[in-house]
Amino acid sequence: MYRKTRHILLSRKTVLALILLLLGGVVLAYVFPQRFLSSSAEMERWQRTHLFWAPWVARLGLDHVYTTGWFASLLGAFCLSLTVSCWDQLRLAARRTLTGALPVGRHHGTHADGQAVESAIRGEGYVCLGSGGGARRFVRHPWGYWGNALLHLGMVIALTSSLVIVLTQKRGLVELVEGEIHSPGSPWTSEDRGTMAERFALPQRVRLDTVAPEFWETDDLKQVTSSLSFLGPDGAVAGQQTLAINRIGNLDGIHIYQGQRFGNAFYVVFTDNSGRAIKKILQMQSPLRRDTASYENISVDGIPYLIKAKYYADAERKSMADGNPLLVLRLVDEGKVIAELPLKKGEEGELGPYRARLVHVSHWAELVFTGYTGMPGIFLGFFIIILGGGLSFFTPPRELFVTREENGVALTCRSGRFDHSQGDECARILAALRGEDAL
Amino acid sequence: MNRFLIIATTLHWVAVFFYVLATIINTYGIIFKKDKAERRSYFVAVGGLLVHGIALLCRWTTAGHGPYIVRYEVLSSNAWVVLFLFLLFSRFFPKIRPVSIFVFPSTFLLIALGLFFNPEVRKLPPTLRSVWLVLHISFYKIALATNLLAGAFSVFYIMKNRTRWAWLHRLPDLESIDLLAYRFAGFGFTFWAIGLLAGSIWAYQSWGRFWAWDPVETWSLITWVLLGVHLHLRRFFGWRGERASYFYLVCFFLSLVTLFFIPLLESSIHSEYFK
Repeated sequence: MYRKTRHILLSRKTVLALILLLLGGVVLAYVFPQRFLSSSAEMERWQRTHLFWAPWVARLGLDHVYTTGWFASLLGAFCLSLTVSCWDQLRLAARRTLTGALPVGRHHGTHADGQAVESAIRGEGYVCLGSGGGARRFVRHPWGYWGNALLHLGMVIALTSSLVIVLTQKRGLVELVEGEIHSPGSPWTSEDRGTMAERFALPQRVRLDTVAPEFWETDDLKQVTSSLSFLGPDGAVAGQQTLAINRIGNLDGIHIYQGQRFGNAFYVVFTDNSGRAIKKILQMQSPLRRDTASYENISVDGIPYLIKAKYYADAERKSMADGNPLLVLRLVDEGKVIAELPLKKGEEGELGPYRARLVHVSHWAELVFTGYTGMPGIFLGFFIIILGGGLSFFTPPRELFVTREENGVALTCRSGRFDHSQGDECARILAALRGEDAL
Repeated sequence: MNRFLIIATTLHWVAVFFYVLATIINTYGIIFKKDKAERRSYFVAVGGLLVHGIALLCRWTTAGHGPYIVRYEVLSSNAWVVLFLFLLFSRFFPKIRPVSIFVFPSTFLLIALGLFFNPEVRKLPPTLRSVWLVLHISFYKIALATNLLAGAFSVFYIMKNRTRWAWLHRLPDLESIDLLAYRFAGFGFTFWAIGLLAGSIWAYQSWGRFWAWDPVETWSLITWVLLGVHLHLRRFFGWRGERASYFYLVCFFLSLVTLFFIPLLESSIHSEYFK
């Protein structure tokens, strides 16, 4: 039973079939929209326009390919096959390094002085790896034997690590306005959690103190920097950190990243005819250029209209530095704009049946918190894959055998995988042997 | 347009002239067995490479970042890396020299194609300021060059196996061509893996994710696995000759689609600055 299973797992056809099926899975995940990559609105729209595929999507889990049982089974079978194969490859590499039989019928020539031949061979970078059967075996790049084994080992490590990450990952994304606090257990703006991971909660309260975007003169983004404070149970500041894109923070092993999204937060107070004040913070993403606006559709509790908002980084369109942003509010009733009001900081005016005042403008930014286990395994695995590939293709091993004969020694080459280059080398060594001192 | 940019564009056209000249002399030398002409074509190509290198440096100085943001500079630097690596490899593997008949025209076609795109300088966004990004891009360029060489040998194998054109006799024997195609495919697989690794480290550093199933990432993975399948078939199934060559050409075509077309078709972090 064990042998049969092993045979099936190592069968070349099984390996190839598994690779192709996994590739097929990846292609399916590319063709069909995936839940973790698309919003629920996008998923619904796709389902409405692809009625034929809907039952298949539901039956085969084509909208979440990477977390389906069939994909996990394929991946598991592939990992198992790879592990067994890796073990075989390691044993094969060890055997090839330590032993090697003299090839039959590939005798290339003889020379009287055995010492001279051996020293010439060593001069070419060959290392003597032992003797047996009356022959001394010399190998150039003996580490090349380990290329395939390392290639397989690296794949096992990378796949296993990615599986660990998928199962245990915790990744929470939160959008905070300057001065806002995210407490342990508060809901995330969005969260990715592995199937075996517990709810992701921070060990301390985190406050976003400041956000400072910088721009090039071409209006392209130069950098976004945020400063954070970690608050103890008594509300006192227990620590502070500054984040930026590509500058990662750390909170008790949890990595904190500056997200890509940021912008202005507009504190607007709407007052209706009865004098009731409705306060709303409008978080809008930073515009891409000084002469283009950023747009957002906003629903406000207590206001039965849709508010369409847009803002320019600078009211005079002269820079991206946001000292004087312009917010324009439009009140929309059943698709028709019924009122419009441009506002700068401190200004107020009529917006249909409401009076709106822009009280304050600050910044908001997206922060990403991650808790991963297994990340070094991914990078180590890939490093070993690269090492294995490098050893296989850059330094293929070459073997020479020196056998004692009556009148001296005979030299025999074994064909390597990339024989054309070894053929040249053998010819050169043999020519040198014929010329006595050429090496 | 900035003075440096005008100089860079002019130098690019001068390099194109050199490369076209090198291609003509090289093709003449290979087809008509004129060794002297073939040798001279290399001098012209090296001249073009120098001018091209200066053009890229001018652009680098003006833009303040390496040639990897806009399509114009991406294609131009790809061309430079392909030719440079070909010249370097041909020093160590003289048998690959006839591949110049593919590499020289590919170089000027890439650079000329780049010249038709908008040469406007884009400033480097903060996520792209990472040494891992430089490694990520550099290794994909090297992988492109080695894949091109493997592709050229695959085409050579098919041509030599199916036709009796006299100039093909200048190529190594069929077995050697097949092994060269195999080995360069192995180089391509290894460099592609390094590019993938550097990219995932960069993504982890910038976004806290090592993999996001972005369309370019997905197709890059598919290409890499397919390149691995090609090597697996050669190593364990004994595939060689025409069958392996045709399969490799499919992989090569897919690698071109992944590098050049997927970023245009799909919205992703890779396409954001290349469109």
